[in-house]
Amino acid sequence: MVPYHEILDEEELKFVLEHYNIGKEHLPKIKVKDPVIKEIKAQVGDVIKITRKSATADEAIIYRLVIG
Amino acid sequence: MIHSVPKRIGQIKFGFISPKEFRKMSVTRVITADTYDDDGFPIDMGLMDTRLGVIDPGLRCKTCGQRAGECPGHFGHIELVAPVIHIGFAKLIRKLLRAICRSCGQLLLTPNEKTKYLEEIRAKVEIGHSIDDVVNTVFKESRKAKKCPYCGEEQIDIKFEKPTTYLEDKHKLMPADIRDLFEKIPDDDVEVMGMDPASARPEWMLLTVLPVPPVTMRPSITLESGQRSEDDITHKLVDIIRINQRFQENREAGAPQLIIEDLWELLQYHVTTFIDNAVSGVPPARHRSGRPLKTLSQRLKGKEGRFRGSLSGKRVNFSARTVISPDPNLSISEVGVPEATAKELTITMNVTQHNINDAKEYVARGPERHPGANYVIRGDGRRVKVTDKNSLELVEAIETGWKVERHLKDGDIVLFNRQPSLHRMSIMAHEVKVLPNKTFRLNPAVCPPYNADFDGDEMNLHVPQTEEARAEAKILMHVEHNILSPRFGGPIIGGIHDHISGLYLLTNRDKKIYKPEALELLKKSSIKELMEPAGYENGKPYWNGKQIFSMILPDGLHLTFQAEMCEHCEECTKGECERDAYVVIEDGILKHGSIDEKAIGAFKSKILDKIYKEYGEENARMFVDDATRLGIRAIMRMGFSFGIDDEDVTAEADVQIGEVLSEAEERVTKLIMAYSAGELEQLPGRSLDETLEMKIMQELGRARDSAGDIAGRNLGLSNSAVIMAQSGARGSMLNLTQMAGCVGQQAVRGERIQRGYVGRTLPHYETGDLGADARGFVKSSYKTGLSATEYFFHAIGGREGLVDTAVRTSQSGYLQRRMVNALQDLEVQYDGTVRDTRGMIVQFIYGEDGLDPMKGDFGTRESIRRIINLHSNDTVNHASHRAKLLALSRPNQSENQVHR
Amino acid sequence: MTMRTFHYAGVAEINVTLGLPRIIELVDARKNPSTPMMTIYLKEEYSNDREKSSDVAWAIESTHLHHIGDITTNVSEMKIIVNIEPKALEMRKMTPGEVAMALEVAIGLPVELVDHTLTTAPEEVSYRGLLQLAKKIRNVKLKGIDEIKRVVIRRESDEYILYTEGSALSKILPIPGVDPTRTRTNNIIEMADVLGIETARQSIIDEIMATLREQGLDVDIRHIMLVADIMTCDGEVKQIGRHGISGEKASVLARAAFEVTVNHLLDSGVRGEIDELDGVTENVIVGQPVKLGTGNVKLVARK
Repeated sequence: MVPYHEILDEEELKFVLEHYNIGKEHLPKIKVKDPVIKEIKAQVGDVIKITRKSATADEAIIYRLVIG
Repeated sequence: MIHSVPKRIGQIKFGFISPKEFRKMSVTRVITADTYDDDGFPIDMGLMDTRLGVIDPGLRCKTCGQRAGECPGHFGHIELVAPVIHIGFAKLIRKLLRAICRSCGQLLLTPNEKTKYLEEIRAKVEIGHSIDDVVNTVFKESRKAKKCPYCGEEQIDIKFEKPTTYLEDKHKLMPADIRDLFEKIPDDDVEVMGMDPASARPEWMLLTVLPVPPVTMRPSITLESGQRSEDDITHKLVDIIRINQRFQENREAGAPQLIIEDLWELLQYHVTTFIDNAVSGVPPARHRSGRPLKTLSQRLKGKEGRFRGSLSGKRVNFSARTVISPDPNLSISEVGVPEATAKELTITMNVTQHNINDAKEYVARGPERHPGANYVIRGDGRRVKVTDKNSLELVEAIETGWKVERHLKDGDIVLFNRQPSLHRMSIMAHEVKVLPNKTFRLNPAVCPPYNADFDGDEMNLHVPQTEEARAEAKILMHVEHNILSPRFGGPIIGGIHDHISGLYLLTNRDKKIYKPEALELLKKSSIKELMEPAGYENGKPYWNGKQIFSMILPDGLHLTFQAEMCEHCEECTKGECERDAYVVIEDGILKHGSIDEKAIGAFKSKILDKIYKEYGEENARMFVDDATRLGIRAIMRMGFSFGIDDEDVTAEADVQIGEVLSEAEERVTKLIMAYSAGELEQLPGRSLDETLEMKIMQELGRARDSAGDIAGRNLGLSNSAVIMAQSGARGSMLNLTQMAGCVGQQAVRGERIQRGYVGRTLPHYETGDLGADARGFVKSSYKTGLSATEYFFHAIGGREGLVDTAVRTSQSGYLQRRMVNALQDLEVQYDGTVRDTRGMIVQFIYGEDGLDPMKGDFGTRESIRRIINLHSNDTVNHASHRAKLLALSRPNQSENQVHR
Repeated sequence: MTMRTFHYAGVAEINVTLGLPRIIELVDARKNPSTPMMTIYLKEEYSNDREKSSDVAWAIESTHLHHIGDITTNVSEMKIIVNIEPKALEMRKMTPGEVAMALEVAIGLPVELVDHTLTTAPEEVSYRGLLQLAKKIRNVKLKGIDEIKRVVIRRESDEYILYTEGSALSKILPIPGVDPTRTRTNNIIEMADVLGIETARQSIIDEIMATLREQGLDVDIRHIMLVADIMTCDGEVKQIGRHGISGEKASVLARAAFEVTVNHLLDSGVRGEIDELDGVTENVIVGQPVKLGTGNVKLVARK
């Protein structure tokens, strides 16, 4: 049920933000209280890369910004 | 004519207006409560002062010099003798009073806390989240302080009495005191409390100056008697001014504190009701007749209020509404417009060298003869009405640069709409066809998207006025473009009712059709030549029904599917199906099978879906047009009727049905006996009573079904009702069962009928009777007629249905409104992301694969492969073959690669 | 869509809300759905074993004293007698001793055990006290999880699956035998709390699609995905409506036009908000083209 979450490194983050031409605050959010975030020990301000199983595209990658 | 640069409002900032600003924007101070003098002229510095704008024709506004209708109106002001509380902020004032020091006005938090909260607020604002949580903690924390950390003052808790009284240890705080205190709050502290000090200083929540709205927003009406009747808001303003004056007089005369306080209270009341006349705890101000006044808040609120009633929904010109009626000879993309309507609605044409002759023709015909013109706009912008008298004169005068408002004529693009507009297919662009009589005409095949029928439905028509609007309508909203529903990617337009019956009659099994008949069937279609005949009889060529239908199919169409009437036998005999339910189309020729709802019906049409996706919109539209016309012709040729005797079953079948039902009743009696003897075995998770009910319901349901089967079999496949039910044209086998077999169990909330007297439903039964007929089982059929008790139970069941529909529509209406409101601002950007208005990403790729649901085959990825094949091969022919082959093999791996 | 069709949708004997009421419940993001339900998948070594799976089922179903025996009050002797049915006890893998222990702990009174009969008496000898105690005893929990009122085992394709009435995901997941990767509840908020926002998003899609499919409605999954995404894009499950997405829109005018008009206007003044007029409603209100779709394109004439 729970898709794969991982913390994005600086370089990849830069690439993502540049690709979409956005700032971090424009990404979807995820709470730092979220059980998965607690599990992977991410901090507020980190960006999480999530690899979902998708009903339409087999696999979909999205990003979420950790907020307080 | 001067073209002004189109202005765009970039943003709107909300905030409080300071007393200073109030005075600055005011054109006059209002001091008298009177409105008009004896001669009926507005009094200077009165509520109807002509500087505030004018509403009487003939007068000119003293501020802007414009006439009534042109002058937008200007604000005035009233100087209040003492400050009063703005009722909308009463709660916020309470919060502030509790959060700040009663002596120095500083927020009762340490500087460290303040910075911390301020940072939190700024972080929330940056990511666009609500700051309510932070602000609420600020108020909660600061209230805890007993002593001011700055001046050391002991804090006293503030009690609040609705609506506008604040008590500090039983001592009443006057608005003037509160105002003085709020003035002391530093700007930085204001920000910590979630307010913007630049646009909302706390002390401005206590009014010292009251704006007087322009006359134009509170017009008085002159009654027939010549008496003037003022607007509610004017009445309220009169009250405020009167009290304000009395207050001032009393204060100047040095009246006792008690009287002053009373007057203050009264002024507060009037200002409160002026802003909102429905505050809890405040008796609403009433009109002389006892009707509560409609003041500022009431004007804005609710469905008919300014926001939802006037701003979100506006009234428009160039629109028409009338009853609709069917016309199968129109194309689905046309709409029949009555001539009278066409002469009223106009399209503005700019006269150029190229169309000057056309324009002259229109003007020459004048406003009365159909493709004429109603107005011309001369080069200098003057509008001239075209009349029979001046039309020839105008024809001579027309030159390029003029504009002609000509009548609606055939081929113009208009928008056609039926409420409720639940989805985008509720407004589609049609081409005009001017017709006699007084109703809008439309092809019955476009009824499904509008959900229209012809039992008195009315529809609206709008005429786009600019070239851009017409282009947009034609490209995005045209009927052709909306044949597929974005809900599930299948066709939503298609044959209904008689179209299906007709084509079914035509194509089911082999029918010999000779040349004259064949020509008549196809005469309204776009077919110009007959195909090779199926054979000759006595030297005369004949065709069969399948061939006739094949002629409207495009060449190269390959399709195989099971028709609606397919019974899903265990072993499909395909081409040899004895019901002719296995449809095979090869190279545009119908080889086997009957055409029914699955083939051409709205929502289900396989053929239309395929044609749309492989041959394009235009061909799909032509196919629908041809198929529906052919269907109508066919049903007219062959004849099709349904009467009461079509529900008759043979005496034999009657007996059979009777047997089935009495057997079932017997079994029910046995169940009941077992139940009362305590021998009934309980189903897991059900109580004994529930078990019995379930078993009885099952038993009776089965009995009804087998009664229906017997009736259906007895009526035979040639019965009109059976044909309609089987082909999916109208009705179902259940309807037939109820008409000819047995109506069955009547249910309330999915259970047998329980309510009524104690232990029984009607006095006709014994108490505690659980038998079939005592609990609402209707043995009779509609044809034989219902017994008195059956009729009663049937009415109970019927009423529940009606109530359900009524409740459901309101519930789903509200759900729809919320859904639309939540999703309306989302847009797919050029980079494929879905973002809201703030630029926040909601989806990184729409639907995770960026595909339009409308273009998929009912949401599968099958279509992608088909599209790829379609474009990688030169002929459509090959493509569809390959797609079919591929579909059979279904290689998962390659699918993924294709996708990427 | 049909109103209140209470059905046993494929799942044996468990009531679930279906149709329009269920959809409304889902988009409202209600804390407690009207019919909470869990689907518990088991680990491989359990899922094929009827015995083992029913052990898990009995372990989680909340068992109260009245489930396993008759409770009678003996008024003349002021005693309460519990006759345990050995069969019921055996099914739940308990011994009379355990029951007696549990009861003693729960009521804090001495309990006498003779064979399969428990006897106890109230401290204070009064008729009222006796009845009160009897009532209390009836509902003494012996084992299981409070929220799980009933468990149904079903064999689907080639494994046993447990369906429960009532939901307590956080308590179920650690139970040995339960497969935590597949087990789910129909309570969206609970999913978000226990398994995170991403899982909640997936549950919203699954639940809405299942409800629609049950009604025979064919809706493309992408539409539902969009709804689920907007409900979860802020990191918590937000309602579609006044207290969720519509109430937190960037535009003051859009909010005012939806519901509670006046309050939104007053609050926006306090905050000094700025409406950038980017959305649909705002631009309709001020009467200018909406910056979406064809309204987003500008043509500039070459000088």
